[in-house]
Amino acid sequence: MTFTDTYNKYYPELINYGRQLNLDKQDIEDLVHEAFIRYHKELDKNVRFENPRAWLYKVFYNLVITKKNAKTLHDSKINEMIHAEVIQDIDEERAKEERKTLVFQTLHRLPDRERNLLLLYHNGLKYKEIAEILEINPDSVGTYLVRTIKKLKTLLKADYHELFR
Amino acid sequence: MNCLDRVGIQRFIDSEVDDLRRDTIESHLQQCSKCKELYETAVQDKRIINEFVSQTYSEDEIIAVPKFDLKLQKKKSTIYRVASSLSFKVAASVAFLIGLFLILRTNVSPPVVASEDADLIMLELFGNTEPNKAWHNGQMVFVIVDENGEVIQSFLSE
Repeated sequence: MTFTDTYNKYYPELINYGRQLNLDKQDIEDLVHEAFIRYHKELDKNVRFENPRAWLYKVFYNLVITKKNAKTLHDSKINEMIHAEVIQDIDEERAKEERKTLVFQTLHRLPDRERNLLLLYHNGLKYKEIAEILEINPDSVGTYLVRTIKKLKTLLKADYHELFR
Repeated sequence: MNCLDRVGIQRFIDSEVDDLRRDTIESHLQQCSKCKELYETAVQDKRIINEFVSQTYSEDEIIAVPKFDLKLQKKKSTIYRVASSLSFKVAASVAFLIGLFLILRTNVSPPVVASEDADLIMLELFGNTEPNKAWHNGQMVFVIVDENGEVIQSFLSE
């Protein structure tokens, strides 16, 4: 796969992943671009990638962490949403928004690493790719995933018990 | 085959098992109600979690892919860009060297010695150069020695 193919294929995925990680638009675009610049430089050095997708996710995630640490960015959006009053409204759109807020709060009760695991899983990455990004043993991804799903279920059950057995 | 645990089921529904294993598990699920139930719960969990993540992070918007430009670096402040440019580095180095030269020049200025305490031991003139001209051209070397003949300091004329 050429660089352009890789870029066209994974650019939207990484932008979307950046949104899931709750970064602002400009930061996402800058960091995705930076990840591709690094990828391009590695190719110039004749580095061969077995899995460019996992490599790009990993580099991008590390850039995000560095950025967050540098800015000590503690999602004001999260705080805003967590402390937002839940306004009872029969309006369907409002109800949907409210549900979204609740789910968002629940997901953000998970530690960063576990939330990231779920996001990567949700984005369709294979266990091997997830292992590479999170720097864990590929054989332990299944165990880690099941444990995280159980944890999220426990949190979700409180509000959405009707959805689970 | 033996019954599967939750992780085994998860790997199966995520297509993380080889074809042979897949066939074996499929056959087992037809016969084992316990594993079948575990499987259905895992499928339901996956669906719900995907649904929850999807509704939290809207993915409806189509993302346009801009043209990749290797030269387009992250936006940096003007001060940073100026400070990191080659010409700035060269100019800064030259300024530093000039400053260093001036400081050293100041430090090597000759010590003040009262004329009554100093004796002119030797004056050597080379060629036909006028002493005044040699002084102004910086061609005159002064060497101050102590009573034992040890060099204390030497310096050039202006």
